[in-house]
Amino acid sequence: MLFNSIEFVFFFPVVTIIYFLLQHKHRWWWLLVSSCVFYMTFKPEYLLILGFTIIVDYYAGILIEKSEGKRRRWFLIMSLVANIGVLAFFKYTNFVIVALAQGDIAHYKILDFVLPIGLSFHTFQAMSYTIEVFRGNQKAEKHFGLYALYVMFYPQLVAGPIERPQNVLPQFYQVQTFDYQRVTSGLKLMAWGLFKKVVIADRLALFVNKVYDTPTQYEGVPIIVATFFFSFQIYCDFSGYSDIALGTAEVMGFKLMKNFDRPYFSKSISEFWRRWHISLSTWFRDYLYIPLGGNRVGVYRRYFNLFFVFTMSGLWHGANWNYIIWGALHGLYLIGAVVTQKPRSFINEKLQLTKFPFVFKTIQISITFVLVAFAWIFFRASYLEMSWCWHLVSHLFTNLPTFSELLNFDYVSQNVFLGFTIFEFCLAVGLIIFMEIVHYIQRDKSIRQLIATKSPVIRWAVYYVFIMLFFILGVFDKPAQFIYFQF
Amino acid sequence: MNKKVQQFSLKACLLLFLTLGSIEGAYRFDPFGKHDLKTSYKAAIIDKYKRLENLKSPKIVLIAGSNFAYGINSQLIEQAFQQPVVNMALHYDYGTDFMLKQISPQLHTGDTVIMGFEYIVESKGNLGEKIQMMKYFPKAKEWFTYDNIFQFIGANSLVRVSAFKLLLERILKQEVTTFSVSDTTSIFFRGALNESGDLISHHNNPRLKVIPRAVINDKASLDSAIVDMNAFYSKMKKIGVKVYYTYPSYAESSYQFDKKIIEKLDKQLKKHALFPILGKPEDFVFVDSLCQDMVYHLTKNGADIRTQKVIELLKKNDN
Repeated sequence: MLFNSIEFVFFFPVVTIIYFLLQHKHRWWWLLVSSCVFYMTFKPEYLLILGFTIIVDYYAGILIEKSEGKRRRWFLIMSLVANIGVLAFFKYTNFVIVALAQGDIAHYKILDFVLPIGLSFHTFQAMSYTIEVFRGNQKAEKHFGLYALYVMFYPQLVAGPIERPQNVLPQFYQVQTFDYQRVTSGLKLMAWGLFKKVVIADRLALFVNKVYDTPTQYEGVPIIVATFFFSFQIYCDFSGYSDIALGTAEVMGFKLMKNFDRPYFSKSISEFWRRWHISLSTWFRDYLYIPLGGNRVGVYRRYFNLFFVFTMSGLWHGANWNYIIWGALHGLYLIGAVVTQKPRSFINEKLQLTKFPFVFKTIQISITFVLVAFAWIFFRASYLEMSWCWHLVSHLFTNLPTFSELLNFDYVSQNVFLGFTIFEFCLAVGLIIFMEIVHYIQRDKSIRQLIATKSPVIRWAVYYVFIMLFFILGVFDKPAQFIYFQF
Repeated sequence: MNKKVQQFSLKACLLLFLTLGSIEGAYRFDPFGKHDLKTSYKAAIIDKYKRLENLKSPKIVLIAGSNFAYGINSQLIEQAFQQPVVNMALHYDYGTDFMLKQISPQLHTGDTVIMGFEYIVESKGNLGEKIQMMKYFPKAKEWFTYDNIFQFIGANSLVRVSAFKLLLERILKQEVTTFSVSDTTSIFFRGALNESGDLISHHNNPRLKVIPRAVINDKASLDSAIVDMNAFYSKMKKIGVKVYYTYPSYAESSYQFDKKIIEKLDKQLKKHALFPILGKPEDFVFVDSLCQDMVYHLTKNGADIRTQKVIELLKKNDN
């Protein structure tokens, strides 16, 4: 079930109302059943796969806790193998077959199945449970239903945030009451997430798809414009989903971890990764980067760790060379940042950029954004043939306009507005600016809190205008799937 | 706690009533409603259906998407077979189920039906299109069903939101588009059709210099449409109505690219169709200069040539 579907409009209030009507001891099964229904709307039989990993990890957790020494480690490995095995089979088998075939695909059988939705998310969440039990940071959950709910809790089941057991499991034991402030705050967060998805992301998608659906027809400016828009499309799409997930959970009294923190205000790539898809980047940090030695190793080993972890992060997104290149590129960016740290400091000192903090910060943010946006080309072109992807990269700066062409409306209309009207283009850009202004204001104080302090007339006017703008500016042709659902 | 829940419920209902009520109100009391009834292309069903109802048997009924609306000269068929013709074609996305249900009750012994559905037609089509037609022609509700209540609510919501956006746009622009057969831009409006139901509004309009390439999805299938057509054919056969299928017109430039998938769709048709098929896909591939604005849409000349081909094939089949 999509968060932006008509089914969810009915599902959410029904589940929430019954949840609050039930006594605390009955709520877990209600949420579990609801989560199963939510998941089964995609492909019911895949519930069995989820069931398999839940059973394996539930018993693995208990056995790890009871055991000591090597046995303890073996139970962890068994659990990890089961999880990674399921993930590898469904997500990477065909990728390996195609790679082995080396073009001679006719003699190889491609497995014909649909990837279980959100597989990478709930597998990683399940893995974090057994690892944390193994590390002694989390007690094994004895209540099978609650453990199943930890994996299946519907707000974050299909696209995260990838939660940690220490955060979520204790919350299932707490008695949640109907808190007016919290419920309305959650609903506002959901509304904002939906706005980002339906109004901003899906509108930007119109521009992006035009270029990326037929990339070989474009050179230079249109590719730059589409890639710029895609950078915001994917942000609004994914952070919109996360906001709805967090808001949905908040209404019922659960606090999920923050997944985004104004990532395009990052001054470096490493900062970007502390602000973008936080639940995944911290997962890789805690369970792969640090165990590999992290920063506390030799220089070259550190470079290897960075490169390996980010390449794995790319592979996590999908069995596709584009995702691997995208991840590897980020790994290279980070290695580059370490390697060039001294010369950059030297240049900054010479140019005395630190004396002009605003200019310095703007330059840093701009460079980071350009690097991130460049990498998005590979991410967005994931379903394209590699030759088309290279066309996009190699033609990024070809056929650039002359100054007189930039003053020609026909040129601008075709290459900058991508054939859309000036109003549609300005609306798309205006929505991005609007969103970033909201982010800027939210640095210090949540807009939700800010609105809550206003008089009822102003508050209601804001709600009314916001909802009407949602309907007027939203793209509703058909509910567009969230980009991250495919992972 | 109960007081808080009550307070919340009351406010939530009030907010929903205000916002959704504004949209529903604009839909129900649209100040441009009367104007739309006179001008909307969808409202052309009123005139087409009236002709269908009033024609005495034997008659020839043409049914398809816009390829028939643009690409048929009913007068030529009328002259060739000395039978009155009604061209019921409007838009492919109503789906075969809807279109065939639309004409079924008005067919009687001796009538002939020519179906010319597009390669991308599906059985169910777009529910929103049908709901919009229902606004102008309430009888249309008898011609469609929906899979589940969510689909119906979703489609209705979309129709209302679109109507609300259009209303706002009209208010902001302070103008309402006017259409005329004689101008060189208008195409889709109620008055765009001749007495038989053929689209004539584009006859004055310049054709596009380059016909945009159509891409038929590799997964396109006529299976569901064939099931509808077979059921329709079997039903009509019992009451003595002749039913034929003829291929949609298609621009040559796109045919080169889509040949493979069109061949696949043709195989589906030939394998499963119970009804006679007139000609083959290549018979209805036209040079781009005979296309108006897209692969399926012919110019006046193109329509005449295509109609002659249909007449020839029909005569050959009857002999």
